[in-house]
Amino acid sequence: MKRLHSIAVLIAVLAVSVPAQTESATGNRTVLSSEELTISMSDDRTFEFDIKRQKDTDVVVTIEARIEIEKLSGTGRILKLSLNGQPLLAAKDRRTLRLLNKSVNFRYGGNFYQWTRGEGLWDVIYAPDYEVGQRVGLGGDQAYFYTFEVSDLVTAKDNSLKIANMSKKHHLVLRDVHVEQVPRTEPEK
Amino acid sequence: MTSPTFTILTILATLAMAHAEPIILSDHDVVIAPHTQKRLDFALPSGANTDLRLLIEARLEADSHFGTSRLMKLSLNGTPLAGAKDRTTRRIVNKAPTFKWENGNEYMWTRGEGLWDVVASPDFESAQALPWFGGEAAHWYVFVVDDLVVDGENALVIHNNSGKHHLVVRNVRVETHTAVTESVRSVPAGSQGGTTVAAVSLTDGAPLISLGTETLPIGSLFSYPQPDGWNQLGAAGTAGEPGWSPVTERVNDRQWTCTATGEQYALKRSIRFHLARIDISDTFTNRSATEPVGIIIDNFIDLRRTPLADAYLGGREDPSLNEVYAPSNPTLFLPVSGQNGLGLVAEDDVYRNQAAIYFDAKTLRCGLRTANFYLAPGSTTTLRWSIYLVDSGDYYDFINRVRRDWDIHTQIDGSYVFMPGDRLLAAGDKSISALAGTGTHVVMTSSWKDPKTGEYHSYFSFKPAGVLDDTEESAYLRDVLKRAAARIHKLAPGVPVLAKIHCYHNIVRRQNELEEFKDSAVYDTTGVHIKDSNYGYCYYPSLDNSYGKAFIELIEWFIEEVGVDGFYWDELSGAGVTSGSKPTQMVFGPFDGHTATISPETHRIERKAAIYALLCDRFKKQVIDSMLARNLLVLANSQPCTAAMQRYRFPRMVESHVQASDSVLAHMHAPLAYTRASTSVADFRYRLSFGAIPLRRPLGEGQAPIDLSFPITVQRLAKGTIVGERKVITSVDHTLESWAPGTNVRRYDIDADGKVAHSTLQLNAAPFRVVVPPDGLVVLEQAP
Repeated sequence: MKRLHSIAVLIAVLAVSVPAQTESATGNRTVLSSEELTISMSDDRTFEFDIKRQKDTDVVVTIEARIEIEKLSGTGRILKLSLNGQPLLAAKDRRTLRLLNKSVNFRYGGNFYQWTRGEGLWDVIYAPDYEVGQRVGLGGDQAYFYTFEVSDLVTAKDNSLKIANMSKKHHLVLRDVHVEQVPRTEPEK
Repeated sequence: MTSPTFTILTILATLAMAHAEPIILSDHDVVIAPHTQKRLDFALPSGANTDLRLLIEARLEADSHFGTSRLMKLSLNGTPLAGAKDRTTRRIVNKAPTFKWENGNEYMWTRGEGLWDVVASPDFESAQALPWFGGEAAHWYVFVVDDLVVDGENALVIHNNSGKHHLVVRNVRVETHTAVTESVRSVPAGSQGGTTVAAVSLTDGAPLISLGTETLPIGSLFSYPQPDGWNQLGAAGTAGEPGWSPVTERVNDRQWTCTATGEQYALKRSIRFHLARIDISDTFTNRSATEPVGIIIDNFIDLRRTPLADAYLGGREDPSLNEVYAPSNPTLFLPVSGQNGLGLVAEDDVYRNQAAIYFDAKTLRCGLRTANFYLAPGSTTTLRWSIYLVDSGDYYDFINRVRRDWDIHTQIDGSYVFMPGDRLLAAGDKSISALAGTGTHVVMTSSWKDPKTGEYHSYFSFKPAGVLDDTEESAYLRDVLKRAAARIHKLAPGVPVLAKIHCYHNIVRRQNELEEFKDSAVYDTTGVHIKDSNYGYCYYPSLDNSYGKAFIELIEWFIEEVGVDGFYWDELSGAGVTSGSKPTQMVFGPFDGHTATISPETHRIERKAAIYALLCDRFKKQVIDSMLARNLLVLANSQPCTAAMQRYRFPRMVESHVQASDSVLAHMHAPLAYTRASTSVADFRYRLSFGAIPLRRPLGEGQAPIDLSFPITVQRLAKGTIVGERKVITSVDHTLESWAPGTNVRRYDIDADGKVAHSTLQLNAAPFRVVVPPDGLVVLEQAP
């Protein structure tokens, strides 16, 4: 069993009453991790948060991640994400996307790849920083980001976002992990 | 033990095609006041009763869509128009027996007596957009009435049973059809009769399926070489290029044909009805003797009338991917209404290797689409696919049906150790000798440690050399392989040693490979020789080309010089096929005779191409036959993608060490999953949840549950359970149904830490319920 790193557990409450921390228009962002955080090989981190739902909003989780390496080297399927025990998939069902910020498919070096094939497992860019991957057709400014609509997965209290590094060779580095409520939109197909 | 009860799906198939002008009884709105009736007389000429359909469009006059009301009573020549002619033959052919209203409850359109529910609506259009009443069929009632009409005068009576609402009917007509009503019923063991769950009508050359409460039309699109040029059948309609005019004809009670001809190609579709399965063969003939034609082909299920949002694409339930390439599991399965299922299967080699299995949430279609079908000048090619009607919403019930129809029997004799030659040489004697008698095999994998530099290499990687190169490094590698095989044979007698080979990555000779194997190179879309960043240049083997001959030379070296007992053939189906990713994995340079890129804009052929599985079947068949004839063992990575490969019974696996759900690619052959060497009980259970068994064990003794899993001859798959002829492996509580009372059984309870408790028992007449330890497994095997 992997260890739960209690030091890294953050308790956050999302509510209208915390506008000072927010960047979004509705003022509902709660940062779970804003500085680089390394998850070692075969290790994981769990972030806990509460949420006070507001009318006509969706809850969105965003994660920025890279695999620590000396030079840009494509992607590796090492990031495993789950929220309240449910794997974070690219879609809720065949008709409704969960992944909001990019297509599941991408092309790199002339070949077609997929950011995920399910199970909450995600490809992450092997890169020494958060810039180089943006310049090589890996999704521009969204290359390192994973944004999910998770309204159906969260509860008012004790939500648990687990981020696991499945690699046995490389460290996973996180930078921006946050939860926010955004104005509700029709789910995209 | 009681005998199992099988409820086998009954198909009721009504096949029809309009071929004469309809007889119009009323083409305008007829308002029938409360408690009144309207009689409509019509005359039929002598001999017109081949097969007749009565069509009525009806609505309850209302300001809003408040639901339905059972107010329309219909009779024809004095006989009430019921939902069925008898217990096995439907009379109404355009509606499912029930519909689901917004409150979630299910209601019946009729309960007999010729009385029918009618949708309340202010018009005939708006209710079609509601999700409850069957879309375009909401107001329509279509009856087969051939047995009720007479030559000469006939009378239809429409009675409004309501005391307060007006009934409005229009478009009342009788159509003449050439038709047959087919019903197939299987009497279930131990029950009073099967349940009719599916009705199939043939419309415009494709089936329209009513399954449970859902109506699922099947459609087909075939491109022709014009921008946005599509010829259509079924749910897609029958539009097409000038001259495209599909004609459907009956061959016999169980077979129909549909023919249509365009400028470049002709299509002859054969539709055969079996018990709960419809086989469709589409034979395309290129009408030109000089010009090839490319056709984008899409056979799909139209989901516009249903709210279905779950589907298994190539066995994948996970909705993350809405398009997959899975030639080893070329299936699409839709659970329908919780009780039933509808499956599509690409059956022939070309279709299964070219098909993208997709679910398109925008067009509300899901199906099997090839964008790469090439038809040579003057040639004919047949694509075969089938539709499965399943009386269960469980994907595994569907896949077990397909496995049975494909006659899949896979026997797996034992587990496998995967280890490089140099590590086999370095391992302790005891860890190797412990393998004797376990039924395991040893696969000598490709990496080896250079004694000069201490670096690890692989005979698949660029740096050192191929196995047969005339270099110091290759000589060392060959020596390692020989000594490792000899050591296994000496310390663990009877344990087979398999050499790892790959026929697309060059592992034979590298010194002058670009020159030596020039005729065997494969290229990417830009014309660059394909070079894998890990494994080097890619080639294709054939019986005539240089790489094929060199590859056979390597096989013979392993047999003669190393004394291997068999081969582990990596990626037998093609380089990179193990990931089940999209799109169709084509290479350029060689041509497989059936594959090309086709412009999605102009629908014209861009380039000829090849898919490894179609390109190299003949070569692989000859090499495998040669191996098997010499009693050599074979284990292959990747599952069969052609009928020829499907016939071989040797085990095949899929890689699941990164993506466990890739195990579903193994459902159509041996359900074996490669994992990391030390497989925990949790890892094992996870693969089992995808219907596969891990096959890899480390060196040493006592590897439960892997050792206990083999031998097994797989019969049925389920989520969490594999049922073999004499063995059951399960991670979920399971009722054992198929073993006879009196059978002696060895039972192994494996807890979450891998600790095994062994017991024996004899089955009695009662169903035997297996309860699995928490987070553990149970293995049952028949004892002599």
